[in-house]
Amino acid sequence: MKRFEPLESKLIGARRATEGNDIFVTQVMDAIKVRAINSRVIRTTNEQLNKETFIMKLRKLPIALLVAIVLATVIGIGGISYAAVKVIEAAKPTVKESRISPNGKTQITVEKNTCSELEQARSERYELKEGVELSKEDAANYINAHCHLLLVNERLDLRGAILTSGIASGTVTSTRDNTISLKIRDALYGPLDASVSFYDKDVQQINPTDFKVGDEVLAYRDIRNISANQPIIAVFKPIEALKYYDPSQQQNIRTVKPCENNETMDCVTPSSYSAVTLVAGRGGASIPQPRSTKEIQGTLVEHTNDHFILENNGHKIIFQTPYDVVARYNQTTVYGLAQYDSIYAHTDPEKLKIAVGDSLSTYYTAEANETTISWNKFSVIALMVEREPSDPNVLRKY
Amino acid sequence: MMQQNIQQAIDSVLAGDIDSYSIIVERYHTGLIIYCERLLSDRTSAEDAAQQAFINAYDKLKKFDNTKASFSTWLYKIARNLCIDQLRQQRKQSDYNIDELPDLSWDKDLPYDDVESIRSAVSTLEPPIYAVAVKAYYWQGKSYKQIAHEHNTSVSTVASWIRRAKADLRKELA
Repeated sequence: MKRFEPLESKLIGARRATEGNDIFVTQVMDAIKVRAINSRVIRTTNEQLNKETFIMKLRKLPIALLVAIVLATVIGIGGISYAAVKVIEAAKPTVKESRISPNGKTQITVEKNTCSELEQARSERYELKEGVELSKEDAANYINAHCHLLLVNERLDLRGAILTSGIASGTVTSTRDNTISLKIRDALYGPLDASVSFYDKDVQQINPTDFKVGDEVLAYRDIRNISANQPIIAVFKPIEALKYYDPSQQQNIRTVKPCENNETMDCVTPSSYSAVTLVAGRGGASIPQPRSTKEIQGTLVEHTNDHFILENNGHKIIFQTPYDVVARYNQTTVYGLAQYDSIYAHTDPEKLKIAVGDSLSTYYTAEANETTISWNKFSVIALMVEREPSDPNVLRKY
Repeated sequence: MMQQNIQQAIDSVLAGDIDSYSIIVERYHTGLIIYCERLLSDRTSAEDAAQQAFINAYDKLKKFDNTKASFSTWLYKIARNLCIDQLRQQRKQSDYNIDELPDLSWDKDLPYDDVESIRSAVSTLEPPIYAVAVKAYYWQGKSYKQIAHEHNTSVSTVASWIRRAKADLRKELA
Protein backbone atom coordinates (compact mmCIF):
# COMPACT_ATOMS: atom_id res chain seq x y z
CA MET A 1 0.00 0.00 0.00
CA LYS A 2 1.45 3.35 -1.02
CA ARG A 3 1.68 6.13 1.52
CA PHE A 4 2.00 9.87 1.11
CA GLU A 5 5.34 11.06 2.28
CA PRO A 6 6.17 14.18 4.32
CA LEU A 7 8.69 15.36 1.72
CA GLU A 8 5.94 15.89 -0.84
CA SER A 9 3.93 17.82 1.71
CA LYS A 10 6.95 20.05 2.30
CA LEU A 11 7.54 20.54 -1.40
CA ILE A 12 3.96 21.62 -1.93
CA GLY A 13 4.13 23.85 1.13
CA ALA A 14 7.23 25.57 -0.28
CA ARG A 15 5.42 26.71 -3.39
CA ARG A 16 5.09 30.48 -3.85
CA ALA A 17 1.74 32.08 -4.56
CA THR A 18 3.05 33.43 -7.86
CA GLU A 19 3.71 29.91 -9.13
CA GLY A 20 1.02 27.59 -10.37
CA ASN A 21 -1.19 26.48 -13.19
CA ASP A 22 -2.86 29.68 -14.38
CA ILE A 23 -5.07 27.83 -16.84
CA PHE A 24 -6.52 25.68 -14.09
CA VAL A 25 -7.11 28.69 -11.85
CA THR A 26 -8.80 30.55 -14.69
CA GLN A 27 -11.02 27.58 -15.48
CA VAL A 28 -12.14 27.26 -11.87
CA MET A 29 -12.81 30.97 -11.57
CA ASP A 30 -14.68 31.06 -14.88
CA ALA A 31 -16.83 28.17 -13.73
CA ILE A 32 -17.58 29.87 -10.44
CA LYS A 33 -18.36 33.19 -12.07
CA VAL A 34 -20.63 31.55 -14.58
CA ARG A 35 -22.48 29.91 -11.74
CA ALA A 36 -22.55 32.91 -9.47
CA ILE A 37 -23.14 35.73 -11.88
CA ASN A 38 -24.12 34.62 -15.35
CA SER A 39 -26.30 31.59 -15.00
CA ARG A 40 -27.83 32.72 -11.73
CA VAL A 41 -28.54 29.09 -11.09
CA ILE A 42 -28.22 29.76 -7.43
CA ARG A 43 -27.67 26.76 -5.26
CA THR A 44 -27.59 26.42 -1.55
CA THR A 45 -26.53 22.97 -0.57
CA ASN A 46 -27.31 21.27 2.68
CA GLU A 47 -24.37 19.40 4.07
CA GLN A 48 -26.61 17.33 6.28
CA LEU A 49 -28.71 16.16 3.39
CA ASN A 50 -27.72 12.82 1.94
CA LYS A 51 -28.94 10.96 -1.05
CA GLU A 52 -31.28 8.66 0.82
CA THR A 53 -33.07 11.38 2.73
CA PHE A 54 -33.61 13.39 -0.40
CA ILE A 55 -35.03 10.44 -2.28
CA MET A 56 -37.19 9.64 0.69
CA LYS A 57 -38.49 13.17 0.63
CA LEU A 58 -39.41 12.82 -3.01
CA ARG A 59 -41.13 9.54 -2.45
CA LYS A 60 -43.30 11.04 0.24
CA LEU A 61 -44.82 13.42 -2.25
CA PRO A 62 -48.07 12.59 -4.04
CA ILE A 63 -47.66 10.87 -7.39
CA ALA A 64 -49.65 13.64 -8.98
CA LEU A 65 -46.83 15.99 -8.22
CA LEU A 66 -44.29 13.95 -10.10
CA VAL A 67 -44.34 15.74 -13.36
CA ALA A 68 -40.96 16.79 -14.54
CA ILE A 69 -38.28 14.28 -15.12
CA VAL A 70 -34.69 15.18 -15.14
CA LEU A 71 -32.16 12.99 -16.81
CA ALA A 72 -28.47 13.20 -16.76
CA THR A 73 -26.21 11.37 -19.08
CA VAL A 74 -23.44 8.90 -19.17
CA ILE A 75 -21.38 11.02 -21.47
CA GLY A 76 -18.09 10.78 -19.75
CA ILE A 77 -16.04 13.74 -18.72
CA GLY A 78 -12.86 12.48 -17.18
CA GLY A 79 -14.47 9.13 -16.63
CA ILE A 80 -17.35 10.46 -14.59
CA SER A 81 -20.85 9.23 -15.26
CA TYR A 82 -23.94 11.26 -14.66
CA ALA A 83 -26.98 9.95 -13.02
CA ALA A 84 -30.63 10.12 -13.76
CA VAL A 85 -32.59 12.54 -11.66
CA LYS A 86 -36.23 12.82 -10.94
CA VAL A 87 -37.52 16.19 -9.89
CA ILE A 88 -40.94 17.11 -8.68
CA GLU A 89 -43.22 19.96 -9.39
CA ALA A 90 -44.91 21.18 -6.28
CA ALA A 91 -47.87 23.48 -6.45
CA LYS A 92 -47.08 26.60 -8.38
CA PRO A 93 -46.42 29.50 -6.05
CA THR A 94 -48.85 32.36 -5.85
CA VAL A 95 -47.88 35.90 -5.05
CA LYS A 96 -49.36 36.83 -1.72
CA GLU A 97 -47.99 40.32 -1.30
CA SER A 98 -45.95 42.87 -3.19
CA ARG A 99 -44.35 45.84 -1.50
CA ILE A 100 -41.50 48.29 -1.80
CA SER A 101 -38.70 47.50 0.64
CA PRO A 102 -36.94 50.19 2.72
CA ASN A 103 -34.10 50.22 0.20
CA GLY A 104 -36.49 50.85 -2.67
CA LYS A 105 -36.67 47.36 -4.15
CA THR A 106 -39.87 45.56 -5.05
CA GLN A 107 -40.29 42.61 -2.70
CA ILE A 108 -42.80 39.86 -3.23
CA THR A 109 -44.02 37.22 -0.85
CA VAL A 110 -45.25 33.89 -2.19
CA GLU A 111 -46.88 30.80 -0.81
CA LYS A 112 -46.85 27.17 -1.93
CA ASN A 113 -43.28 27.49 -3.02
CA THR A 114 -41.37 24.68 -4.74
CA CYS A 115 -38.24 25.84 -2.94
CA SER A 116 -39.76 24.71 0.33
CA GLU A 117 -38.49 21.24 -0.59
CA LEU A 118 -34.97 22.57 -0.18
CA GLU A 119 -34.19 23.32 3.40
CA GLN A 120 -31.38 25.73 2.72
CA ALA A 121 -33.17 27.57 -0.05
CA ARG A 122 -36.50 27.76 1.68
CA SER A 123 -37.88 31.24 1.50
CA GLU A 124 -41.15 32.94 0.87
CA ARG A 125 -39.70 36.34 0.09
CA TYR A 126 -38.03 37.45 -3.10
CA GLU A 127 -36.74 40.75 -4.39
CA LEU A 128 -36.74 42.10 -7.92
CA LYS A 129 -33.79 43.89 -9.38
CA GLU A 130 -34.41 47.62 -9.54
CA GLY A 131 -35.99 48.62 -12.82
CA VAL A 132 -37.45 45.17 -13.44
CA GLU A 133 -41.22 44.95 -13.52
CA LEU A 134 -43.03 41.64 -13.55
CA SER A 135 -46.69 40.75 -13.35
CA LYS A 136 -47.64 38.60 -10.37
CA GLU A 137 -48.07 35.62 -12.67
CA ASP A 138 -44.69 36.08 -14.33
CA ALA A 139 -42.99 36.55 -10.99
CA ALA A 140 -44.52 33.31 -9.74
CA ASN A 141 -43.41 31.49 -12.89
CA TYR A 142 -39.84 32.77 -12.63
CA ILE A 143 -39.68 31.72 -8.99
CA ASN A 144 -41.06 28.29 -9.87
CA ALA A 145 -38.44 27.85 -12.58
CA HIS A 146 -35.75 29.11 -10.24
CA CYS A 147 -36.73 26.56 -7.61
CA HIS A 148 -36.88 23.83 -10.23
CA LEU A 149 -33.28 24.61 -11.19
CA LEU A 150 -32.33 24.47 -7.53
CA LEU A 151 -33.88 21.03 -7.27
CA VAL A 152 -32.08 19.84 -10.38
CA ASN A 153 -28.79 21.12 -9.09
CA GLU A 154 -29.34 19.70 -5.65
CA ARG A 155 -30.12 16.31 -7.05
CA LEU A 156 -27.22 16.31 -9.47
CA ASP A 157 -24.86 17.40 -6.76
CA LEU A 158 -25.83 14.45 -4.64
CA ARG A 159 -24.78 12.19 -7.46
CA GLY A 160 -21.42 13.85 -7.78
CA ALA A 161 -22.11 15.42 -11.13
CA ILE A 162 -19.86 18.19 -12.24
CA LEU A 163 -21.83 21.36 -12.56
CA THR A 164 -19.33 23.55 -14.24
CA SER A 165 -22.02 24.03 -16.74
CA GLY A 166 -24.06 26.46 -18.71
CA ILE A 167 -27.73 26.01 -19.38
CA ALA A 168 -29.20 25.86 -22.87
CA SER A 169 -32.51 24.93 -24.42
CA GLY A 170 -33.08 22.23 -27.00
CA THR A 171 -35.47 19.94 -28.80
CA VAL A 172 -35.66 16.15 -28.83
CA THR A 173 -35.02 15.00 -32.40
CA SER A 174 -35.26 11.24 -31.96
CA THR A 175 -35.61 8.54 -29.33
CA ARG A 176 -34.26 5.02 -29.59
CA ASP A 177 -33.81 2.34 -26.97
CA ASN A 178 -32.45 4.17 -23.99
CA THR A 179 -30.99 7.06 -25.94
CA ILE A 180 -32.46 10.34 -27.08
CA SER A 181 -30.96 12.76 -29.57
CA LEU A 182 -31.13 16.48 -29.09
CA LYS A 183 -30.63 19.67 -31.02
CA ILE A 184 -29.29 22.10 -28.47
CA ARG A 185 -29.64 25.85 -28.97
CA ASP A 186 -27.00 27.69 -27.04
CA ALA A 187 -26.61 31.41 -27.58
CA LEU A 188 -23.19 31.39 -25.95
CA TYR A 189 -21.57 28.42 -27.63
CA GLY A 190 -23.70 27.76 -30.68
CA PRO A 191 -25.86 24.82 -31.69
CA LEU A 192 -24.99 21.25 -30.83
CA ASP A 193 -26.31 17.86 -31.83
CA ALA A 194 -26.09 15.52 -28.89
CA SER A 195 -27.13 12.07 -27.88
CA VAL A 196 -28.05 11.39 -24.30
CA SER A 197 -28.19 7.95 -22.81
CA PHE A 198 -30.23 7.18 -19.76
CA TYR A 199 -28.37 6.09 -16.73
CA ASP A 200 -29.33 4.49 -13.49
CA LYS A 201 -32.92 4.31 -14.58
CA ASP A 202 -33.72 1.49 -12.19
CA VAL A 203 -32.94 3.61 -9.19
CA GLN A 204 -34.71 6.66 -10.41
CA GLN A 205 -37.56 4.91 -12.24
CA ILE A 206 -36.78 6.77 -15.39
CA ASN A 207 -38.78 5.79 -18.41
CA PRO A 208 -37.21 6.67 -21.77
CA THR A 209 -40.63 7.18 -23.23
CA ASP A 210 -41.01 10.20 -21.03
CA PHE A 211 -39.23 12.02 -23.82
CA LYS A 212 -40.90 12.37 -27.20
CA VAL A 213 -39.70 13.83 -30.48
CA GLY A 214 -40.37 17.54 -30.45
CA ASP A 215 -40.21 17.93 -26.68
CA GLU A 216 -38.62 21.16 -25.55
CA VAL A 217 -35.91 20.41 -23.01
CA LEU A 218 -33.23 22.17 -21.02
CA ALA A 219 -29.66 20.95 -20.86
CA TYR A 220 -26.53 21.64 -18.94
CA ARG A 221 -23.37 21.78 -21.01
CA ASP A 222 -19.90 21.38 -19.67
CA ILE A 223 -18.24 24.71 -20.24
CA ARG A 224 -14.89 24.13 -18.66
CA ASN A 225 -13.13 24.13 -21.97
CA ILE A 226 -14.76 26.48 -24.41
CA SER A 227 -12.58 25.28 -27.25
CA ALA A 228 -13.96 21.78 -26.91
CA ASN A 229 -17.33 20.58 -28.05
CA GLN A 230 -19.00 20.97 -24.70
CA PRO A 231 -20.78 17.73 -23.90
CA ILE A 232 -24.21 17.56 -22.37
CA ILE A 233 -24.18 16.54 -18.75
CA ALA A 234 -27.87 16.75 -17.98
CA VAL A 235 -31.17 17.07 -19.79
CA PHE A 236 -34.48 17.80 -18.16
CA LYS A 237 -37.98 18.88 -18.98
CA PRO A 238 -39.02 22.34 -17.91
CA ILE A 239 -42.06 22.76 -15.70
CA GLU A 240 -42.56 26.31 -16.92
CA ALA A 241 -42.20 27.90 -20.33
CA LEU A 242 -38.55 28.04 -21.37
CA LYS A 243 -38.38 31.81 -21.11
CA TYR A 244 -38.73 31.57 -17.34
CA TYR A 245 -35.44 29.66 -17.14
CA ASP A 246 -33.52 32.31 -19.07
CA PRO A 247 -30.44 33.02 -16.91
CA SER A 248 -30.51 36.71 -17.74
CA GLN A 249 -34.07 36.85 -16.45
CA GLN A 250 -33.45 34.56 -13.50
CA GLN A 251 -30.84 36.93 -12.15
CA ASN A 252 -33.51 39.59 -11.76
CA ILE A 253 -34.98 37.68 -8.81
CA ARG A 254 -33.22 37.22 -5.50
CA THR A 255 -34.09 35.28 -2.41
CA VAL A 256 -34.57 37.41 0.69
CA LYS A 257 -33.80 35.81 4.05
CA PRO A 258 -32.88 36.99 7.54
CA CYS A 259 -29.24 38.07 7.71
CA GLU A 260 -26.85 35.57 9.26
CA ASN A 261 -26.98 36.04 13.04
CA ASN A 262 -28.92 39.26 12.55
CA GLU A 263 -32.37 37.75 12.31
CA THR A 264 -34.28 41.04 12.39
CA MET A 265 -32.55 42.29 9.28
CA ASP A 266 -33.09 41.29 5.66
CA CYS A 267 -30.35 40.02 3.37
CA VAL A 268 -30.33 38.70 -0.18
CA THR A 269 -28.22 35.64 -0.85
CA PRO A 270 -24.55 36.49 -1.48
CA SER A 271 -24.58 34.39 -4.63
CA SER A 272 -27.18 36.67 -6.18
CA TYR A 273 -24.97 39.72 -6.40
CA SER A 274 -21.32 40.48 -6.85
CA ALA A 275 -19.25 42.83 -4.76
CA VAL A 276 -16.12 44.91 -4.67
CA THR A 277 -14.16 44.68 -1.46
CA LEU A 278 -13.34 47.97 0.28
CA VAL A 279 -11.72 46.53 3.38
CA ALA A 280 -10.87 42.98 4.39
CA GLY A 281 -9.02 41.80 7.41
CA ARG A 282 -10.09 43.46 10.64
CA GLY A 283 -7.43 46.13 10.49
CA GLY A 284 -4.74 43.51 10.84
CA ALA A 285 -6.03 42.21 14.17
CA SER A 286 -6.10 38.50 14.89
CA ILE A 287 -9.23 36.54 14.11
CA PRO A 288 -11.48 36.40 17.17
CA GLN A 289 -12.09 32.91 18.55
CA PRO A 290 -14.60 31.48 18.69
CA ARG A 291 -15.86 33.18 15.62
CA SER A 292 -19.51 34.17 15.41
CA THR A 293 -19.99 36.02 12.20
CA LYS A 294 -22.79 38.49 11.70
CA GLU A 295 -23.91 39.75 8.37
CA ILE A 296 -25.43 43.05 7.31
CA GLN A 297 -26.39 44.27 3.91
CA GLY A 298 -27.16 47.86 4.73
CA THR A 299 -27.77 51.24 3.24
CA LEU A 300 -24.91 53.65 3.81
CA VAL A 301 -26.27 56.45 6.02
CA GLU A 302 -23.06 58.41 6.59
CA HIS A 303 -19.28 58.06 6.44
CA THR A 304 -16.62 60.14 8.19
CA ASN A 305 -12.96 59.89 9.11
CA ASP A 306 -13.71 57.68 12.09
CA HIS A 307 -16.88 55.73 11.30
CA PHE A 308 -19.59 54.83 8.88
CA ILE A 309 -23.17 53.81 9.53
CA LEU A 310 -25.28 51.17 7.82
CA GLU A 311 -29.03 50.83 8.18
CA ASN A 312 -31.21 47.79 7.59
CA ASN A 313 -34.89 47.51 8.51
CA GLY A 314 -34.58 50.53 10.82
CA HIS A 315 -31.55 49.11 12.67
CA LYS A 316 -28.42 51.25 12.55
CA ILE A 317 -24.96 49.80 13.07
CA ILE A 318 -21.97 52.09 13.57
CA PHE A 319 -18.64 50.81 12.29
CA GLN A 320 -15.60 52.55 13.77
CA THR A 321 -12.75 53.08 11.32
CA PRO A 322 -9.29 54.68 11.46
CA TYR A 323 -9.97 56.56 8.23
CA ASP A 324 -12.83 57.21 5.85
CA VAL A 325 -13.00 53.82 4.13
CA VAL A 326 -15.54 55.01 1.59
CA ALA A 327 -13.55 58.08 0.58
CA ARG A 328 -10.39 56.01 0.23
CA TYR A 329 -12.19 53.48 -1.94
CA ASN A 330 -13.54 56.28 -4.14
CA GLN A 331 -10.06 57.76 -4.56
CA THR A 332 -8.13 54.58 -5.24
CA THR A 333 -9.88 51.26 -5.68
CA VAL A 334 -12.50 52.42 -8.09
CA TYR A 335 -9.91 53.50 -10.66
CA GLY A 336 -8.20 50.14 -10.59
CA LEU A 337 -11.34 48.19 -11.34
CA ALA A 338 -11.11 48.40 -15.10
CA GLN A 339 -7.82 46.51 -14.99
CA TYR A 340 -8.88 44.32 -12.09
CA ASP A 341 -11.03 41.91 -14.01
CA SER A 342 -12.76 41.64 -17.34
CA ILE A 343 -16.18 42.00 -15.74
CA TYR A 344 -15.32 45.61 -14.99
CA ALA A 345 -14.02 46.32 -18.47
CA HIS A 346 -17.31 47.68 -19.80
CA THR A 347 -18.22 49.58 -16.66
CA ASP A 348 -17.41 53.22 -16.07
CA PRO A 349 -15.50 53.16 -12.75
CA GLU A 350 -17.02 56.52 -11.87
CA LYS A 351 -20.39 54.81 -11.70
CA LEU A 352 -19.09 52.47 -9.00
CA LYS A 353 -18.08 55.29 -6.68
CA ILE A 354 -19.86 54.94 -3.37
CA ALA A 355 -22.28 57.54 -2.07
CA VAL A 356 -24.72 57.77 0.83
CA GLY A 357 -27.69 55.58 0.01
CA ASP A 358 -25.67 52.79 -1.63
CA SER A 359 -25.80 49.19 -0.42
CA LEU A 360 -22.81 47.73 1.37
CA SER A 361 -22.29 44.19 2.55
CA THR A 362 -20.36 43.54 5.75
CA TYR A 363 -19.35 40.64 7.93
CA TYR A 364 -18.16 41.22 11.47
CA THR A 365 -17.87 39.52 14.82
CA ALA A 366 -19.62 41.07 17.80
CA GLU A 367 -21.66 40.31 20.87
CA ALA A 368 -25.42 40.12 20.57
CA ASN A 369 -27.15 43.50 20.22
CA GLU A 370 -23.86 45.36 19.88
CA THR A 371 -24.50 48.36 17.64
CA THR A 372 -21.06 49.95 17.61
CA ILE A 373 -18.47 47.74 15.98
CA SER A 374 -14.78 48.44 16.45
CA TRP A 375 -12.29 48.22 13.60
CA ASN A 376 -10.68 44.98 14.71
CA LYS A 377 -14.02 43.15 14.56
CA PHE A 378 -14.55 43.66 10.86
CA SER A 379 -14.25 40.77 8.50
CA VAL A 380 -15.03 42.60 5.34
CA ILE A 381 -16.81 45.60 3.88
CA ALA A 382 -17.88 45.42 0.27
CA LEU A 383 -19.89 47.40 -2.22
CA MET A 384 -22.74 45.31 -3.60
CA VAL A 385 -22.88 45.37 -7.39
CA GLU A 386 -25.03 43.69 -10.02
CA ARG A 387 -25.30 43.42 -13.76
CA GLU A 388 -27.43 45.83 -15.74
CA PRO A 389 -30.68 44.13 -16.81
CA SER A 390 -30.28 45.58 -20.28
CA ASP A 391 -26.56 44.78 -20.69
CA PRO A 392 -25.04 41.93 -18.67
CA ASN A 393 -21.54 43.16 -19.54
CA VAL A 394 -22.05 46.30 -17.51
CA LEU A 395 -22.04 46.42 -13.72
CA ARG A 396 -23.96 48.88 -11.64
CA LYS A 397 -24.33 49.49 -7.96
CA TYR A 398 -26.87 47.19 -6.35
CA MET B 1 0.03 35.20 7.86
CA MET B 2 -1.10 32.95 5.02
CA GLN B 3 -4.00 31.62 7.08
CA GLN B 4 -5.11 35.16 7.79
CA ASN B 5 -4.94 36.01 4.09
CA ILE B 6 -7.02 32.97 3.31
CA GLN B 7 -9.56 33.94 5.96
CA GLN B 8 -9.71 37.44 4.54
CA ALA B 9 -10.32 35.99 1.10
CA ILE B 10 -13.08 33.79 2.51
CA ASP B 11 -14.69 36.78 4.18
CA SER B 12 -14.54 38.78 0.97
CA VAL B 13 -16.11 35.95 -1.01
CA LEU B 14 -18.86 35.59 1.56
CA ALA B 15 -19.56 39.28 1.20
CA GLY B 16 -20.01 38.76 -2.54
CA ASP B 17 -16.54 39.50 -3.92
CA ILE B 18 -16.20 36.40 -6.07
CA ASP B 19 -12.79 37.40 -7.43
CA SER B 20 -11.27 36.94 -3.99
CA TYR B 21 -11.84 33.21 -4.40
CA SER B 22 -8.95 33.16 -6.86
CA ILE B 23 -6.61 33.72 -3.89
CA ILE B 24 -7.84 30.42 -2.47
CA VAL B 25 -7.63 28.56 -5.76
CA GLU B 26 -4.13 29.91 -6.44
CA ARG B 27 -3.00 28.88 -2.97
CA TYR B 28 -4.22 25.28 -2.97
CA HIS B 29 -4.65 24.05 -6.53
CA THR B 30 -1.31 22.37 -7.19
CA GLY B 31 -1.38 20.38 -3.97
CA LEU B 32 -5.01 19.47 -4.39
CA ILE B 33 -4.50 18.19 -7.93
CA ILE B 34 -1.55 16.05 -6.84
CA TYR B 35 -3.54 14.76 -3.88
CA CYS B 36 -6.40 13.72 -6.15
CA GLU B 37 -3.98 12.31 -8.70
CA ARG B 38 -2.55 10.00 -6.06
CA LEU B 39 -6.02 8.77 -5.12
CA LEU B 40 -7.38 8.38 -8.63
CA SER B 41 -4.19 7.41 -10.45
CA ASP B 42 -5.27 9.60 -13.34
CA ARG B 43 -4.31 13.21 -13.95
CA THR B 44 -7.37 14.26 -15.95
CA SER B 45 -9.79 12.81 -13.41
CA ALA B 46 -7.73 14.43 -10.67
CA GLU B 47 -8.00 17.87 -12.25
CA ASP B 48 -11.76 17.37 -12.65
CA ALA B 49 -12.10 16.30 -9.04
CA ALA B 50 -9.96 19.18 -7.79
CA GLN B 51 -11.97 21.64 -9.83
CA GLN B 52 -15.20 20.23 -8.47
CA ALA B 53 -13.80 20.39 -4.94
CA PHE B 54 -13.11 24.10 -5.35
CA ILE B 55 -16.63 24.62 -6.69
CA ASN B 56 -18.22 22.62 -3.87
CA ALA B 57 -16.14 24.53 -1.34
CA TYR B 58 -17.32 27.78 -2.89
CA ASP B 59 -20.92 26.65 -2.67
CA LYS B 60 -20.54 25.62 0.96
CA LEU B 61 -18.22 28.40 2.05
CA LYS B 62 -20.77 29.89 4.40
CA LYS B 63 -20.73 26.66 6.37
CA PHE B 64 -16.97 26.60 6.79
CA ASP B 65 -16.10 26.98 10.47
CA ASN B 66 -12.50 27.93 11.11
CA THR B 67 -12.82 26.94 14.76
CA LYS B 68 -13.27 23.29 13.75
CA ALA B 69 -10.69 22.89 11.04
CA SER B 70 -8.32 24.84 8.87
CA PHE B 71 -9.55 25.72 5.43
CA SER B 72 -7.05 23.39 3.79
CA THR B 73 -8.23 20.46 5.92
CA TRP B 74 -11.82 21.22 5.01
CA LEU B 75 -11.02 21.59 1.31
CA TYR B 76 -9.02 18.37 1.20
CA LYS B 77 -11.85 16.49 2.89
CA ILE B 78 -14.23 17.70 0.20
CA ALA B 79 -11.78 16.56 -2.46
CA ARG B 80 -11.21 13.25 -0.74
CA ASN B 81 -14.94 12.53 -0.64
CA LEU B 82 -15.27 13.36 -4.32
CA CYS B 83 -12.38 11.04 -5.17
CA ILE B 84 -13.83 8.24 -3.06
CA ASP B 85 -17.20 8.67 -4.78
CA GLN B 86 -15.48 8.48 -8.12
CA LEU B 87 -13.55 5.37 -7.18
CA ARG B 88 -16.76 3.74 -6.01
CA GLN B 89 -18.52 4.64 -9.23
CA GLN B 90 -15.69 3.11 -11.18
CA ARG B 91 -15.44 0.27 -8.69
CA LYS B 92 -11.72 0.89 -8.49
CA GLN B 93 -9.41 0.65 -5.55
CA SER B 94 -7.07 3.50 -4.86
CA ASP B 95 -3.38 2.71 -4.70
CA TYR B 96 -3.47 4.54 -1.40
CA ASN B 97 -5.06 3.58 1.84
CA ILE B 98 -7.98 5.98 1.95
CA ASP B 99 -8.37 5.65 5.68
CA GLU B 100 -4.81 6.79 6.21
CA LEU B 101 -4.78 9.80 3.96
CA PRO B 102 -2.96 12.64 5.67
CA ASP B 103 -5.66 15.20 5.12
CA LEU B 104 -4.56 17.09 8.22
CA SER B 105 -0.99 17.64 7.18
CA TRP B 106 -0.76 17.42 3.44
CA ASP B 107 -0.85 21.09 2.49
CA LYS B 108 -0.05 23.32 5.41
CA ASP B 109 1.80 26.60 5.64
CA LEU B 110 5.48 26.23 6.38
CA PRO B 111 7.64 28.66 8.35
CA TYR B 112 9.60 31.05 6.13
CA ASP B 113 12.95 29.44 6.99
CA ASP B 114 11.68 25.99 6.04
CA VAL B 115 10.37 27.30 2.75
CA GLU B 116 13.69 28.91 1.93
CA SER B 117 15.72 25.82 2.82
CA ILE B 118 13.48 23.58 0.74
CA ARG B 119 13.60 25.95 -2.23
CA SER B 120 17.35 26.23 -1.92
CA ALA B 121 17.73 22.46 -1.81
CA VAL B 122 15.55 22.07 -4.88
CA SER B 123 17.45 24.74 -6.81
CA THR B 124 20.79 23.04 -6.18
CA LEU B 125 19.69 19.58 -7.31
CA GLU B 126 22.04 17.88 -9.75
CA PRO B 127 21.60 17.43 -12.60
CA PRO B 128 19.58 20.66 -12.98
CA ILE B 129 16.82 18.89 -14.89
CA TYR B 130 15.80 17.33 -11.56
CA ALA B 131 15.11 20.80 -10.20
CA VAL B 132 13.22 21.75 -13.34
CA ALA B 133 11.01 18.67 -13.03
CA VAL B 134 10.33 19.14 -9.31
CA LYS B 135 9.46 22.81 -9.75
CA ALA B 136 7.23 22.06 -12.74
CA TYR B 137 5.34 19.30 -10.95
CA TYR B 138 5.04 20.55 -7.37
CA TRP B 139 5.04 24.31 -7.86
CA GLN B 140 3.84 25.03 -11.39
CA GLY B 141 1.08 22.42 -11.38
CA LYS B 142 2.21 20.60 -14.51
CA SER B 143 1.53 16.94 -15.13
CA TYR B 144 4.24 14.38 -15.88
CA LYS B 145 2.86 14.30 -19.42
CA GLN B 146 3.22 18.07 -19.85
CA ILE B 147 6.75 18.03 -18.46
CA ALA B 148 7.67 15.15 -20.73
CA HIS B 149 6.27 16.97 -23.75
CA GLU B 150 8.14 20.17 -22.90
CA HIS B 151 11.43 18.29 -22.60
CA ASN B 152 10.84 15.95 -25.50
CA THR B 153 11.12 12.86 -23.36
CA SER B 154 8.90 10.13 -21.98
CA VAL B 155 6.59 10.20 -18.96
CA SER B 156 8.60 7.40 -17.35
CA THR B 157 11.77 9.48 -17.66
CA VAL B 158 10.07 12.39 -15.90
CA ALA B 159 8.89 10.01 -13.18
CA SER B 160 12.44 8.81 -12.83
CA TRP B 161 13.81 12.39 -12.55
CA ILE B 162 11.34 13.22 -9.82
CA ARG B 163 11.89 9.95 -7.96
CA ARG B 164 15.68 10.50 -7.91
CA ALA B 165 15.23 14.17 -7.03
CA LYS B 166 13.12 13.22 -4.03
CA ALA B 167 15.72 10.70 -2.90
CA ASP B 168 18.38 13.43 -3.04
CA LEU B 169 16.13 15.92 -1.26
CA ARG B 170 15.39 13.43 1.51
CA LYS B 171 19.10 13.23 2.25
CA GLU B 172 19.66 16.97 1.88
CA LEU B 173 16.76 17.93 4.14
CA ALA B 174 17.18 15.18 6.73
